[in-house]
Amino acid sequence: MAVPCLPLISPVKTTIKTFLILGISVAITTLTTARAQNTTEQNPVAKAFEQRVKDYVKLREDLEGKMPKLSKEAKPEEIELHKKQLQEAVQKSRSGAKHGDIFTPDAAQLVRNVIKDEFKGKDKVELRKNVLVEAEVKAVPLRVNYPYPEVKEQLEMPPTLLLKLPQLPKQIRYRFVGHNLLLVDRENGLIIDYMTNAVP
Amino acid sequence: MKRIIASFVLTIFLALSSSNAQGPSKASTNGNSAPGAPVKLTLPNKEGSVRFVVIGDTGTGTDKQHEIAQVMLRYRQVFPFEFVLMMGDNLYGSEKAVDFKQKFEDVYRPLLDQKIKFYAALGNHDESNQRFYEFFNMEGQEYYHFKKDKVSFYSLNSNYMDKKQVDWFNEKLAADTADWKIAFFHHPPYSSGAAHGSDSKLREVVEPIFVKYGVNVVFAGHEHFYERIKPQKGIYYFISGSGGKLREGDVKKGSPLTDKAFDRDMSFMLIEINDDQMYFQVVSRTGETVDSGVIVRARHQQSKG
Repeated sequence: MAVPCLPLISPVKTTIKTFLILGISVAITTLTTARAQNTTEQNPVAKAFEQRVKDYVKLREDLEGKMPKLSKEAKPEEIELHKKQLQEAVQKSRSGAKHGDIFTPDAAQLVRNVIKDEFKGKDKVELRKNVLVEAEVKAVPLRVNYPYPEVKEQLEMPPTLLLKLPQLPKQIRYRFVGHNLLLVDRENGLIIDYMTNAVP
Repeated sequence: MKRIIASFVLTIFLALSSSNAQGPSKASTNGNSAPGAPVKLTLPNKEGSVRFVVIGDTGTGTDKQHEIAQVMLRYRQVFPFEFVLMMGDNLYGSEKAVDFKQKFEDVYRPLLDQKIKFYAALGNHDESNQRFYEFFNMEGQEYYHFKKDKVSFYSLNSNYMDKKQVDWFNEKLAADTADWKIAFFHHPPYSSGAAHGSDSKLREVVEPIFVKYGVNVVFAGHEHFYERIKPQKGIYYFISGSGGKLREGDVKKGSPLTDKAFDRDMSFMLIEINDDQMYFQVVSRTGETVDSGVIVRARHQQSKG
């Protein structure tokens, strides 16, 4: 009785298939790695950005260390004076500070990508509504080393976004103003840098 | 001479009245009473209860803020609450020394004189530096915890819910054995407000923590009205954001979230916790009771992992 023969698989075809599988695996791995780096952990651009922010914080801590410490039960006059003195000291010390010193182009692009990834579809609509429509932040001047106006509201930062952005020291805050993202000193109120076109 | 003696006696009497923070007080007032309904307490007012007030979005310094503060004072005479929770937006506009005085101290002076403590959370109109202010009792922190008897209170900074704060909250709750766990902050995770609405991004982060560790009640502000939300995953949510501002008619009619809402006038909440019951009464600026009830605490089994 004849036994049907299985077709012989060409060694060439096997080699091609192997290379294809390997190639796809490498591509997937590369994309995954790039995405992971893009979300800031272990990313050299993010690390450099975080270091520049820490350098600012070191400068202002050195200046604040020369001032009387603010009590946890301070009078309003003491709070007002402390803010004013810290503001003036940092402004003087950073008189040459300019836009892009901390939010360098690559850092700004990294942050844009994180925001874009986080807000898609309905989330994007809601972010735009909160940031561009609802917020009472018109006439906040985008000027480095100038104070964020205390009469203007401070927009809530979406918590899910905060978990993904490069982490900041406690003294510094991200803050949306229109399409822009600012870095603001929470105690002296100074805008220490900003990036444009942050909102997708 | 007789006039001098009479003045002396009156001064002593007034000083003694204002320093008594225990029990029903004959609180001294400045003579200005808000118009409106007489005091009608619906709370049991039992000995040993934890008694407090919840107000939000107060910092305007307007006549109406003063009026509602006077109603709070009148209620204190029959319901001796010990402290006040503030939901944020404690000062609108500028925050110079004169603003602290006009938008807070002058308004609540009679309560401050009776040593009533105010525990504040920060709103989107508040600078971080408010955490140093002596009368907000924030201990220099943007988020903090304190306990009253068997009730744990967590004041959170919903403006900036970063990883540090989330980690802190998780750690504190994991170790907390209090019967009642109450969180308060500015932005409401659930809301029927047309102007703002539910803060879904905040809810995504905090609600799992509330559920995991058995937070019983959440107070918030930001919306300028009162709303009692239907229980969500066993947690009771309240919005008390009309202590100084009102957005009249802002609650969406027929919202599936609402158990009760009041957006026709400003209001505040009176709370009494006794054993497993939390009683609440919501009073308007004109002294009308607009909501009241009791929440019974469900015993929580903390989930592992």
